[in-house]
Amino acid sequence: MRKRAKQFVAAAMAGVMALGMAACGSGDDSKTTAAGTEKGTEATKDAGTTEGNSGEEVKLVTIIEEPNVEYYPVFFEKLKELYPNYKITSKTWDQGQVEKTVKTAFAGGESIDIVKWFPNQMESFLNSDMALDLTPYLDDEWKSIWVDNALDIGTYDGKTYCLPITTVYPDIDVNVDLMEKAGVEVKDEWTWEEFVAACEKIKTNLPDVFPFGIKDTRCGWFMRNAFLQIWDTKAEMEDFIAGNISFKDERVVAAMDEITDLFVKGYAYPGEGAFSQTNDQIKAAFTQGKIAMMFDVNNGGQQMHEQMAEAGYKNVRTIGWPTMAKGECEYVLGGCDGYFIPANCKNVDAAVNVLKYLTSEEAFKLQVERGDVVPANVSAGDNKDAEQFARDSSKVYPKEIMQLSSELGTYVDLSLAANYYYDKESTLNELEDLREAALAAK
Amino acid sequence: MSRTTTKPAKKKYGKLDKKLMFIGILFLMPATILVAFTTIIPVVWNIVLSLCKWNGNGPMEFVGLENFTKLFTDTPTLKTIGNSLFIAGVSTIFTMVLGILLALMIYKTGKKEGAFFRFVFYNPNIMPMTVAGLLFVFVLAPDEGLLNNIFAAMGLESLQHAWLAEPGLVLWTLAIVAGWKGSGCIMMLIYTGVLAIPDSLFESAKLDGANYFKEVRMIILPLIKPTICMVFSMEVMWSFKTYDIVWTMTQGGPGSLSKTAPISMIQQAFTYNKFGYASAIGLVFSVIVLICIGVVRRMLRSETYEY
Repeated sequence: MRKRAKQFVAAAMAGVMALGMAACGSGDDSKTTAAGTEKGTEATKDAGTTEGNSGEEVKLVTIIEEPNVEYYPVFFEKLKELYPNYKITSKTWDQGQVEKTVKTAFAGGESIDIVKWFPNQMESFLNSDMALDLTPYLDDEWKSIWVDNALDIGTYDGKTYCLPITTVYPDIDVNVDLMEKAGVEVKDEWTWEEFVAACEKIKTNLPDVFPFGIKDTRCGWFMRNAFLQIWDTKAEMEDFIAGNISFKDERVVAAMDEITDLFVKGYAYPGEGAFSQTNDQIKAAFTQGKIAMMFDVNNGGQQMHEQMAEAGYKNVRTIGWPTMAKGECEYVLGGCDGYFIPANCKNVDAAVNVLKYLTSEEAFKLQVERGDVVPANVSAGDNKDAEQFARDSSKVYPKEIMQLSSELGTYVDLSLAANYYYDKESTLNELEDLREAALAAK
Repeated sequence: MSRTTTKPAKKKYGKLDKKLMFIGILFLMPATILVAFTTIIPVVWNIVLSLCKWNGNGPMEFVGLENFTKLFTDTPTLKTIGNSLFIAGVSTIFTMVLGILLALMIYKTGKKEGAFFRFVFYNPNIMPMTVAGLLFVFVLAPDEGLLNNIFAAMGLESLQHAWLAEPGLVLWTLAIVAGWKGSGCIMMLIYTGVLAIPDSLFESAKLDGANYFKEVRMIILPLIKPTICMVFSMEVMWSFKTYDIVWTMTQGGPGSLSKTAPISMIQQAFTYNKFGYASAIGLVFSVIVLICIGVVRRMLRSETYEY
């Protein structure tokens, strides 16, 4: 009898353990199903309608907040006031991780409701139907906040997926005191030759100062700008962007050689290792007066000016990126930051409400106060520096060769400058392979 | 000539045997389910995925061996596998040598100082990989980095380098940092192996006039050889996970100089939406790792001593 009882207890325990294990492996069905776009969207629309209006707690996850950007905490405070029933979890936006995070969540059936991304680089999400079409939600009143045609940048085949919030393009923050010491006259716009001459002068006259510093992930901007500027006509540039001109074309190679020369001559901080400098390292060197020019983004300019003032350098100016343009292609790379809603969002109405606030006049004004250039009908107000952070916004050309395929885009943006410096021939071959593969896929 | 075959007699199980078997199966169920969900199903799923084209959301398309043929002609991806092998090889050797040396250095220390040294040397192992990576980014920075500044202070400017940016150095640097990080664990395992050697052997060696180095060479190393073999094959397995330390320190850069197979897989899957191709890279990489482990185990098959 006792033996039987023992056996029964053992069997019961094993059963309970097995059930426990099985329970650990399973979850909410609605979460673990990899949602197809259509199915996911319909389901979320229903959920959004009921949850968004009923006053019940609505959970939202956003990946839009960048550390050290002052207006995001203000946005979230305001959203708390506007929608007290929304429980918003804000995850930090890190460019290198966003795509991976959103896609992993998507594949796992988890929902991230609002994501900051680039409206002109949505292909990677659209190719796998991961972005929600916002067109049905964009009524005339909402659309009226943007300047004419601003929404076009996030519109694909007539459907708007990503709403632009800031116009971004690269520029240079210049320590004018150091430039004057080196005997260099600072102009708002430089030709490539003027820029190279300035670098040489700084190197010769101030041996302890590096002419410029650029963070690792921005080194590719030299090439990207060159690819927009080196053509005689816009038609030629468009032809290159469409992938019809080889990377081995002598104009392309000559431009890349000139760029590589900057690094060969040791103009870039800290000489050897210039391709692997983090943003913090470059900023630290700039505020310590170790570099005379820092390649930056226009919407980071105001913050940089303030940091330099704190470090004792009050004479800082923001100027345009040196241009290689000889013909009619006076363009700079760039586009917009923007927001989109992933297609498997569980609370679409709530996410749209949040988006409406984030793209409201109030939110745009806060951005403008912090030096952002916004593609919206909002005045610059009292910000006297706004002009220098918006100077080249009319030159921004949102299409680039890197949009031909994700592989080519990543390579040009993150690997090209360093790879070309270390191994020119292999890099040209890799570029050609990627271009041909992209064309074959189309 | 005819040949007659006799069937083996079918074993008859008694009632008690069957009951015991049932209970045994019942007890094995949780572990079986766990192993199935965490290992078998993902591996099978990976194999299936490697034969398909899938963007992570839409329908899957069976493409046979297309992903594999593409992989074997894709030089940049093959190079990332090569980088992984290099880092794994160098870091394994570095970890093993450092771990064994540390263990041999501390096994004779007293109770208190022994505990202190074990704590100090084991500490890197406790540290999260990302923290160790970031720490070394600061230490190895070309301009502000601690290492280059130490060289400068010692007047050894010629030894200053951009440790994480020079083509001939970056993989070595990553491997050595990864090796340093893992050395604490190896030290502890070897140290416990040394502790298991009876004191009488050391005493008799001393009577025979053996010094410390002879003790190490003639007694310790031969007797802990099975431990070294076991630890070595474990370390080979661990060292192929070349993702976190590389991502934290270089993100595969500068350019693609230090890009490893795991980074390439993640990029293919989550940036380019090529889950099938990423799976194929993963599968080929796993096979290479398995071959390496097999070779290492075969090479290190060792004799055991009874003492």
